[in-house]
Amino acid sequence: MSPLDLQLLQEKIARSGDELAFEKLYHYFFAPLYHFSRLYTGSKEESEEVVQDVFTRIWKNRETLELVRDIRLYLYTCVRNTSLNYRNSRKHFQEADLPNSEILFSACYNADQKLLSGEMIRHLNAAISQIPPRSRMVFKLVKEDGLQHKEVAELLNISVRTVEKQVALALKYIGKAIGLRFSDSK
Amino acid sequence: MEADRFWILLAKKMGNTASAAELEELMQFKSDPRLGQYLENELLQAAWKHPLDFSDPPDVQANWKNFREQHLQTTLPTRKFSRVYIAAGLLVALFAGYMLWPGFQDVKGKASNENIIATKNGSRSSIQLPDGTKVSLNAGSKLDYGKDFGRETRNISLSGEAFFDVAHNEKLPFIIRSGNISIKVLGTAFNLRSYPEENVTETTLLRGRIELSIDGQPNRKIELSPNEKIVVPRSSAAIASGKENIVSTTKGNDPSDTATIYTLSKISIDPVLKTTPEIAWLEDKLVFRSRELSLLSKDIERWYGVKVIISDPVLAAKKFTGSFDRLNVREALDALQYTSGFTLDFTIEKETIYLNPKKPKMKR
Repeated sequence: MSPLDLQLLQEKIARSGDELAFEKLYHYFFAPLYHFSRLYTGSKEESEEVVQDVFTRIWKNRETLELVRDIRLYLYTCVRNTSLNYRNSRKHFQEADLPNSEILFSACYNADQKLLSGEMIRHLNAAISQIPPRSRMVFKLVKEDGLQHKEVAELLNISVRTVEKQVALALKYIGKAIGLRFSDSK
Repeated sequence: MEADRFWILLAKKMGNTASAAELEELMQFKSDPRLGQYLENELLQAAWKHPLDFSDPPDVQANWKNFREQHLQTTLPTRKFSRVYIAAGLLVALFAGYMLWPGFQDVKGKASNENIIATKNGSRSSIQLPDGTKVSLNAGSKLDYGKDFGRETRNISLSGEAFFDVAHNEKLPFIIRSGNISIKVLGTAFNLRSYPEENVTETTLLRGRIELSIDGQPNRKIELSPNEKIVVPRSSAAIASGKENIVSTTKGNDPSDTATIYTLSKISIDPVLKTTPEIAWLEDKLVFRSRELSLLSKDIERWYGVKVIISDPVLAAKKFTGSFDRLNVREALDALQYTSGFTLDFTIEKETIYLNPKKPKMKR
């Protein structure tokens, strides 16, 4: 969905409480937000609750939704804050960089079969699992969710430079998997 | 490290944050024996574009269902339901007609159907019925069906407008009632427009086959083929008085029948509006062809959830053709004004819109 499409949805939801538009928004963002939330929470149930919580608040306050300039960043920020609240209200903390959800290259997707064979995917996944979970999450946010480096930095409260380094790291490992050699091993 | 710098530059390029100077710097690596091969590398690009999978994905459907049940579906008290049902005016008069639809004896007998789904003006919704049928409900519409829907029978009744994508089930025909018509389907996709305030119902078939009956005419079963549309007047008076009317249709026509006038036609994409008007609402387009402003204003009321008041009867009789493609109410009114050749003026006060005639400016 382009930013314009998102804006249209925002308007419809804010001005006329359009449930169909809200449903579209919900289905578009639920899974990516959930996986992002997993970075902070310990479980599937908790992350589902977090995202549901965020959508509920958005629906309840839908009249003000139009004032939000970037709905995508807004959603991610809400999810981050809510996830942290959930985490802080629990007795013991879970380490932030140990998400239970694994991130892997899709084995089912077929479109570039000619370029990426099943074996290549396996190499890619072997490589990607070597980078720390936090880097993997940054990688997902940039590559899959389409967030800009600046946005990811703001979201995770790290510097843009760190974001760049983590994406660079992921790229390096992908390069390694593709089988072309390079002599510095880090 | 040189290599580190390379990967950072590449990361910036992939993220569209690299400056012109940085891109140039990156290109200088082309001659590098180790790193040069990663530039404009097809495999690397493919890997970057390749979607990620996640173990332990969320159950979005279940969560949505939960959300909808808690925050979205409105239920009306059954008292209101029976009032609307009787207002259709046919319950008593067409008792005989019901006997031919065995499923309906149950429906008639129940004073209250258990499940009611409604949308307010200005709001559209889509749901899935227990048998897997998908329904999109337009604004100001109401659907209701019994507790055993999907098990014993598939009877449902509609007031308003909805698009049905009916799940295939040969054993249980899907029967929908609205106003004075009944539609029987096995598995198909069609649009039914039946607002109580309008004096016709419009059924548009997209695919599959449906069989439509008009109350009081049990022997006449009209079968629709894909891309056909049938418009049936709501008048119970015509039926009750047994007037002889000429049926003006393009097929299945026997003029000696005492029957309600109905019109059967083929639907197509309107070349001016570039859309099939009957189902344009599914794409968030409010489409109208030669529609009197008095009727169009009702469409606008439902679509946007506002009230429209037209002061001048001459203006109310004016016809308009056009479409509001994902426009908000202000934009729609601007478009309407433009279409009218600036002979229409509007003012908005909270949730009420006033439409007035406007004298065109005199050209000098």
